Amino acid sequence: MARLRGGMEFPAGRLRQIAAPPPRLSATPVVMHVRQRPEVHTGQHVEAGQTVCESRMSGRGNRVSPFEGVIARMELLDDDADHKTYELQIICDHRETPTSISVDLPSGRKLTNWLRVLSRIDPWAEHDGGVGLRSQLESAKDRRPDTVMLNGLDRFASFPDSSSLLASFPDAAAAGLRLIADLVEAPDAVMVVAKDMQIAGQLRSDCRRHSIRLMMKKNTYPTAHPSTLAWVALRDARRLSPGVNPISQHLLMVNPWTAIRLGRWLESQRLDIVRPMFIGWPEPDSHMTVRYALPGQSLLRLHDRLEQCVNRSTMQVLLGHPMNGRKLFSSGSEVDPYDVLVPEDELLLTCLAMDAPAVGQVQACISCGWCAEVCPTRLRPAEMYRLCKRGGPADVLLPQLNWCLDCGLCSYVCPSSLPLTQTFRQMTARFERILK
Amino acid sequence: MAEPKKRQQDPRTPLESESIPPPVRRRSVLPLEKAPPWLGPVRRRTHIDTLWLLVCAVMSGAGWMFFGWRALWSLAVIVVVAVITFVMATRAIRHFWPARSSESYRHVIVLALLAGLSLQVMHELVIFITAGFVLGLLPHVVGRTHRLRIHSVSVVLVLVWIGPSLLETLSPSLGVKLLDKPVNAVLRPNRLFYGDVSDYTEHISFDRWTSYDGEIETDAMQRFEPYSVLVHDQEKMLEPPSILVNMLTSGELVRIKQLLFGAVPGAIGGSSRGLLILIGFYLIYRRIAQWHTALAGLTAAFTALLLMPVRLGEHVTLVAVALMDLEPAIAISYVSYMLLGSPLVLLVMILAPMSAPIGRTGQVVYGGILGGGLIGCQWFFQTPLAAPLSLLIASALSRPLDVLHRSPFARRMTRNTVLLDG
Repeated sequence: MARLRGGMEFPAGRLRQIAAPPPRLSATPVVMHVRQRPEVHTGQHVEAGQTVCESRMSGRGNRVSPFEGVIARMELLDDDADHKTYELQIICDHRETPTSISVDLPSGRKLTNWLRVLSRIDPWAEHDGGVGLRSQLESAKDRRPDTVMLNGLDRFASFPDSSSLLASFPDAAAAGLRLIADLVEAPDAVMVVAKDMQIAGQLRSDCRRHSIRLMMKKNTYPTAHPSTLAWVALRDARRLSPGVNPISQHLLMVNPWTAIRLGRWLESQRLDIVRPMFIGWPEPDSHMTVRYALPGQSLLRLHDRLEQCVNRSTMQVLLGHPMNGRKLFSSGSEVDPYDVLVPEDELLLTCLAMDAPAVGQVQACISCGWCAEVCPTRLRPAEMYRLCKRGGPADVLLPQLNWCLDCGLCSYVCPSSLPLTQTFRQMTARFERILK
Repeated sequence: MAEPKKRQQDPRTPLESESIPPPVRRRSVLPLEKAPPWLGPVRRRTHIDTLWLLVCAVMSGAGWMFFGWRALWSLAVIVVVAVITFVMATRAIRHFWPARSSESYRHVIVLALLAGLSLQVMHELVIFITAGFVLGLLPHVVGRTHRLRIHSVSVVLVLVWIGPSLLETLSPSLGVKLLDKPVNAVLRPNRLFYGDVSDYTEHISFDRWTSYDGEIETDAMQRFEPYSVLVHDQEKMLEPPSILVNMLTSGELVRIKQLLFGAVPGAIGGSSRGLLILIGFYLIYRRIAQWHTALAGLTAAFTALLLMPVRLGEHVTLVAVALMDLEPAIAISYVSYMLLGSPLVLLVMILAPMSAPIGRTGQVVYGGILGGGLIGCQWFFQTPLAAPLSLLIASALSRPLDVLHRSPFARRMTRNTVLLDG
């Protein structure tokens, strides 16, 4: 059992052995959302790897077509002054699409050369370290990190997605991490994994071969969060504010799939454009299901049970884990399940039973202190909630809001069913500009 | 004007289908009731109140065993009066402030039971009726859901002890009526559960209880209340040759095992120290109570006791120094009696958790105030109000102590304070 702060427990799930991606996959059509005017037009034929939208934003790369096909549709979704989003639909010429594209590896291990190549390919949004790999690499040009860390802890112990990936691709993960450490010339490369002898046994030899320090940590939710990890895993505990680039703390963080992608790219000269999607089921003893999918394809096609739950009131589907995942759809919801796409930045889908308890009837706070006890950054959620509701001094509330990891533990343990984390999320959105 | 889009019915055959799926719109922040976490809460407030009811039921059972039906009758009276008052007060308040949330009935029952269990059996029920009435009103003003986190039971206990004395000063006739004397007696073994604890005629030692031969017809036997004895003779017991040994051999002071078992006069629910310790551990195990508070309370009481000044002969010294002059067995017995004989266990393990601060540091300070305050009041004022007074002071400071729970990350902004809208 993975023990939670404050004594509540989540059962630890079982690892899955994952096979390498197949060469081809049925994943057409694909829908892309881009922030700038696309370089293509409706009806245009595009090649695999052809740029469809050139990026002019820092930390983002060019969006490329994942396969050979036709631009079927292009539409402007949001047309705000400072926020434009276009939607593109690409239909493949064939029934099955390739799962990787050929991209020439840069020569040597010079950061600028690699950044130039990485900028030509997107999506690369793995949310590594909370901000993405490319943002960190670009910042690393000016401020060298002393540690490169692969965050191999599972965000939710019941669904061991990161551990399964590392146990399945240990050599690729180690090679990818070594590459990043060499690119930024970091003296220390660390792979943090859950305290599990099976995972450690599979990673030890590869880590030794690539001069990577293997660190085992007890995975107490939410240790896998970059802010928590920077605090507990390093000797000089570093204060990494949520959403802030880890390079500011001389740290570069990557997720397992990013490192594995890089490692496999080094090995085969082909870059994977599919990603594994882990599906956790509501039954307590069930295994996770793993499917490879192309970002932007229809999510319902990943598994028959997902499609079944559209018509039957059996499940609700979340993107992410049950503590802070985003609800995609459920029976009777306003969102059409057929509209939901495979995301670019998330590997985990959680299916919950419909009778799972939601937020109960809100009652007055009884000062039990459980919320403060479980808070990973030791905030005072009950006081914050009171300040949010009744108004209060900003210099007390905002610094605490800034360090809310959105882990959901305070709401989870609150016996009065106060919508604590939900309220903080709303307030954070309201004061986003001040907090940033 | 753009044509309305058609919905894609079969996403598996996109090449054949000419219809186009509608786009996924960016969603703004979700409404509160639709936002994560999607699990929980792990325990609801009713579960906590039910757990407290269970604890009170066990303590009431122990009280019933040693003090018979009179104890249960007293508890029933305080609960009924408290609930009736609470209901009427709630209705009155809702008449003026309809949106105001109120405490749960279970919590009021728990408070009434805890107050009753902290009182001794009385000849008359006027004290219990008064306590119940006050307890019915207090949850609307102070307590766990209010900014003033004062423990209602402590207020009631202080009031029922001070009130009659004050009334006696103001109006002697009314004060004498209210000034009820506690019954310092326990039931005999063959009268447990059903005997009348006020039916005692002679003073019999505890040894006669275990060898009861059936010749005595009273339901109960009168005994000294250990706490009163300790408070009265706390300094004398340190004088060599030790008076403590004489008190033990004469039966004036009950044995430790009797204190642990509970066959001694005292609070209805607090006579059995062993049971209180077990319940305290159970509450800590269920995370209703905090071990920091309990440990800090016991440690502070022990330390405070050792640091108390005592006059031995002509010079004043510390209890710790005086204990060093005694034989180790007597010194250990003295400390044990002072800690177990006082309501310390009832205070730090049963009553304290309900008004403890939220953070660990605050809980330690809170426990320290409780333990140190109890021993200090008891030593300097020799008053039975020591426990409720220290609880009153500590619980009044509970909310301010919350600020001791500080995040190592979030630091207060240095710029001028700006008030946010609610």
